[in-house]
Amino acid sequence: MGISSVVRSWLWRVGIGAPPQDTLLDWWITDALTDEAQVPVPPGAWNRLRMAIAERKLVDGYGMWVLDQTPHDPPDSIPSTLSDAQLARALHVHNFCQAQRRGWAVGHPSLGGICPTFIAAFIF
Amino acid sequence: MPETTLSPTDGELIQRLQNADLDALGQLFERHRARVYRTALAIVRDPAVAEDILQDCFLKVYVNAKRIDPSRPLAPWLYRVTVNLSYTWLSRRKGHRAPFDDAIDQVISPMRHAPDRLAEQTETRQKVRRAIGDLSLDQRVVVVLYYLNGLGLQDIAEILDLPVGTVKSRLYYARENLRGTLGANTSWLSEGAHGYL
Repeated sequence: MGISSVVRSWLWRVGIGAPPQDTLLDWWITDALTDEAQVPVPPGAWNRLRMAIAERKLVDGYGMWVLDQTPHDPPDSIPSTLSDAQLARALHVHNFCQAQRRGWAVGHPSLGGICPTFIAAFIF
Repeated sequence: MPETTLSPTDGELIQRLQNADLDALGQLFERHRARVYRTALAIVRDPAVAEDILQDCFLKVYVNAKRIDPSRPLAPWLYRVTVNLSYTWLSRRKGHRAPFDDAIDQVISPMRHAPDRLAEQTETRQKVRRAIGDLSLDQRVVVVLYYLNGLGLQDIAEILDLPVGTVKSRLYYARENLRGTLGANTSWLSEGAHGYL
């Protein structure tokens, strides 16, 4: 940035003169944001809003205002799959609970059919 | 003599809304939804949150209709509410980062399969968008209002309730930061822009 552009920037910031030119940067900023603006408004937005207003009318009677509810963070996503270790642990707990209910344990095919629950049932 | 049907002005629709005419709100929503949604999306960088802000913004129009002056333009008021709601949401979500580019890519997915040149341009846009996303919130808001919505400095100052000098300053430093983030020399921008300018 040359001295003249520094002076031009300063003059612009204090309210004198034209804005400093960087056409290419300006063009790219506008282009990037405009491209993003091509994203369509989600369909059904108006219907959801109308329903929200209708619901608000209902809850008004109870002294509540949906609008007054502040925006909140989206909930953390719940894992939809279990890892192998988690699955094995869940199976183990499930088998153990089943055994508790029935009074006997189911041998797990791993470890050659020997597992703590099986041993426990065998001892008893 | 044929009757000319002129679409009602924002002021007329606000007056109808003040008499609890929900259709008037529908027309205002149709007219302004794009600018509200896109402004919110550019600031919060999350399509789902942008939609929530769109809803909240027009709920505010509905609830505050009686306090809105029909003789004044509605758009600046909508921008102000949109920016305020975006600030609120982002301040509550401090520390988290939204996967903005992923979200945008999902919506504009055909671009992923575009020919090389288009793909290159898409990549450049992503770089610029990411750099805009890395700006401080104050600077990002000014950049979005100035470049995306094409608002003047005076308009932005009124929307944000700031002196014009502050808006100029934020815009100036935003551009300096973008120039710094995108590279001291912006030769890659020139290469990317080749053939498009």
